[in-house]
Amino acid sequence: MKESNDNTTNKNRTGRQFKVEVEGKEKEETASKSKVRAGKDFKPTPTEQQEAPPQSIVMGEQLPNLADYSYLKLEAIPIRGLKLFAWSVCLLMLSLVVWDVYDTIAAAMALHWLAAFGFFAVSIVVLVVGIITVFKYRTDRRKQNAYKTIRMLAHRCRLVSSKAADQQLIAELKSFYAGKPQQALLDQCLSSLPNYALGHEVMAHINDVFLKPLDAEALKRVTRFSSKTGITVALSPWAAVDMVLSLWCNIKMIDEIGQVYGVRPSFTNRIAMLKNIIGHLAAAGASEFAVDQILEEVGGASIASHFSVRLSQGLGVGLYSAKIGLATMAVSRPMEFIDNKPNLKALTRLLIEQFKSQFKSQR
Amino acid sequence: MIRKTKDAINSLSRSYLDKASNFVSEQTEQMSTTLERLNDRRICLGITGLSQSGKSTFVTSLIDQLINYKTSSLSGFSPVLEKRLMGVKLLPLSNKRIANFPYQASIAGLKKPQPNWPSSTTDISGCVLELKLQKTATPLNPFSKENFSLFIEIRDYPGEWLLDLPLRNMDYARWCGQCSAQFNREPRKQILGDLLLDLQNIDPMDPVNFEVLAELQKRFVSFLEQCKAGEHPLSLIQPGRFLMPGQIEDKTLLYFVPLLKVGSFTDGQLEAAPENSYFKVCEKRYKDYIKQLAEPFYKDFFSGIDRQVVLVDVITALNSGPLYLDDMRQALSNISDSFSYGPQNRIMQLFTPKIDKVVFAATKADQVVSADHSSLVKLLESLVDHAYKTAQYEGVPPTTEAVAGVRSSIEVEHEGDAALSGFDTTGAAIGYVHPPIPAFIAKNTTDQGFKDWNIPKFNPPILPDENQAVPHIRLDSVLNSLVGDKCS
Ligand SMILES: Nc1nc2c(ncn2[C@@H]2O[C@H](COP(=O)(O)OP(=O)(O)OP(=O)(O)O)[C@@H](O)[C@H]2O)c(=O)[nH]1
Ligand SMILES: [Mg+2]
Repeated sequence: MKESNDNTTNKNRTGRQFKVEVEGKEKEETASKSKVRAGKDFKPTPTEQQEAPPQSIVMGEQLPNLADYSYLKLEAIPIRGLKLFAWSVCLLMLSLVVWDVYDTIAAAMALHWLAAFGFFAVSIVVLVVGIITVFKYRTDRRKQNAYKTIRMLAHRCRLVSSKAADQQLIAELKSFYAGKPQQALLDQCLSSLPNYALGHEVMAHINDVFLKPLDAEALKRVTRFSSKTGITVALSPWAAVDMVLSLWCNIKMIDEIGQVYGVRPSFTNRIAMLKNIIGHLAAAGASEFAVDQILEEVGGASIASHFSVRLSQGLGVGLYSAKIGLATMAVSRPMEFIDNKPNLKALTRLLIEQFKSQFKSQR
Repeated sequence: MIRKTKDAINSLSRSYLDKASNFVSEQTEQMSTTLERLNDRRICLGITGLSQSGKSTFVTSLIDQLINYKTSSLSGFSPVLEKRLMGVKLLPLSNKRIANFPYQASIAGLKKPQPNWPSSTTDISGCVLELKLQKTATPLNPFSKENFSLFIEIRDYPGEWLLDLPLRNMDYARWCGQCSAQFNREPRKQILGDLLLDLQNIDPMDPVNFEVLAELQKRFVSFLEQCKAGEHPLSLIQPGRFLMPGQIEDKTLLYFVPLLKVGSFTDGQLEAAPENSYFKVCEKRYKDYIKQLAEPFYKDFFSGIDRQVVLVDVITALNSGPLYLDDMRQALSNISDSFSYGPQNRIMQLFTPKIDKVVFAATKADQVVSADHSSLVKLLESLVDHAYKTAQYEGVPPTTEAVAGVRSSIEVEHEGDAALSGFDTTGAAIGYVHPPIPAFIAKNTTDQGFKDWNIPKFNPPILPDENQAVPHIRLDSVLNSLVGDKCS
């Protein structure tokens, strides 16, 4: 959490990617020392001089080697005619159809051979289109299932150091992100992977270079949506509308967070994700996400004194939505969090701040 | 005798035949262009940018990236990402009256051992990029390997001329009024000096003295030149052809000046002015200027564009101070009224073309550290506010980006600050730390950071390998926003 937060909010420069860990403390010092840089020219020392020509900076990239995914958006790919090809019905239908087609062709043949041929051609086209649709549906499903495989492989990589397992993980990741906007960054991340890295080192590298920027973006979206939900609830006078609004906002949030990690928004994916999120929330149990307790810890008396009943309700809804957002992140991230698990407490603080500033004038 | 007649007839018929065949080939060319447009395979790209905003460099680099697509970094451009770009060719425009874009000369200059920037553009030019693309698989045919060509028309022109576009909708008297308001304010007042008084002293109703007028025009041109060439260049410089005439047959078109006293007369009085008065003479020349220079320029260059990229040199204006930023904002908002935005179907596009995608780009982003690019974009958004909102209102949500046609600096750390290092115009190594880029300019406060320090100019980077594309910043993103959707 701390790391990714740094990436998004710290105005100060972060060091080169390989220095990030070491520089964590220095950064804070310089930030407090000089707030505003003054413009100045200098004569570059030999190390500062431009020896090789600069590299291009491409879309979705920020120096030094940080990803910027605020533009990220995936289009839904509609898959039509799924139900028609449900397997069992299909089989039954097929036998009937083949029978009928055969009959018709025979009848047409009696009329004229051209009629028979035409009918035959049309039925072939129908057959081919059907097969292709099924094929497309299955590849999409397979890609979504790749998620499970990736998570499993990642877990294994962390425990055992084996080159083969690493290769398999990388191959799965590559195929999952192929053709998606994340691909460029993944490729770059993999190309900067030191070739001696093994097991958890590979994981750490992918986690740091590829996933952390995505986390930061996802977290941004969680914050945005949860505060939006909370504020709308606090402002709207009808309880029934609240419910519908917050439900809609949450579904939208789940979609958008999924997109960050490469899950295309579609009906089936949404359902699958919802199932996982509920599972995750249930498994995490009361302790991890106990909203009331956190509120107590973070805001305590100040909330009661600051906010009316209506506002506190809004805040509560916002917090729940943040909770769902974090759960979504956890289930749609291709690997489990290693060291930077986002926590609800920090988010809560942020939300309360936003609420305070939003409703300052109303009090 | 008979031989002679025969020859004459022969040559006559040949010339007619030539003409006819020319006509036919022109018409077929036109037809195929129209068909391609109908078929969504030809895009007319409008590169829009004030003088020195980096248009020529941008176009040169864009062509270079595409031609060297195998080695250049264009990972944000979907056909390259999906490996569907099969080849790129540079062709001349079908309109033979417009010269070829001097790509070879410009790129050779950038890739020399001692590289230099493309020279300032003095006349119009253009080219067509043909992208050979593989079709994406369709549901009917997932194994399709079919190729098609996408033609992208690009035109380059001196940026000064862009500011002639708003003149088209302004009559002479109003232009004089606008000038009068401008000239009485800093920084123009100071640059004008005595000329301000001399212009104010001319009575529009007096009979014209052509010598005096010519003399005034000369001084007016030199004033415009100073506006452009000073340490801090201004943006709103009209009329553009005064600075960069291009090819003009009738030079008298240019002999007029704004008469600052016009504002104190009513329309009726001006209407009734004698034919040989200063007002009538200048007004006639102004009208001719628009009819013969501004209108054709608009028609040839901007009336038919489908997609637009607006290049803005935010950094230079920021460097000069709030007055100059405001001047640039004014200039950009004046220009934007000449364009119509909106989603449009293909058939209507042939008759009333509208821009259905627009990208606003802050150019020369390599002059600031990358962490400040997002502030640069915010600043850009506030500068192009008017056009941005218009486009958005018409249903064309614009994209904004910080770009550089040629990235000529690297980022280093200097005494704890993020700094840039490159070469200056003499080729010596330089580096600098710049003050943070503000995300917006607050009115009435001068930005201290840039007040007593100027961002130095970089030379292009030295490239060891001629076959490699020049390094850029986010051209791929611009390209994808502009034409990515037409590539599948
Ligand atoms: N650092 C940097 N400087 C640039 C870049 N592009 C342009 N410049 C500078 O801007 C100047 C003008 O660039 P041009 O491409 O000639 O601009 P233009 O818009 O074609 O100008 P006109 O033809 O006069 O209208 C160049 O001489 C460079 O000094 C860039 O990508 N990076
Ligand atoms: Mg130019």
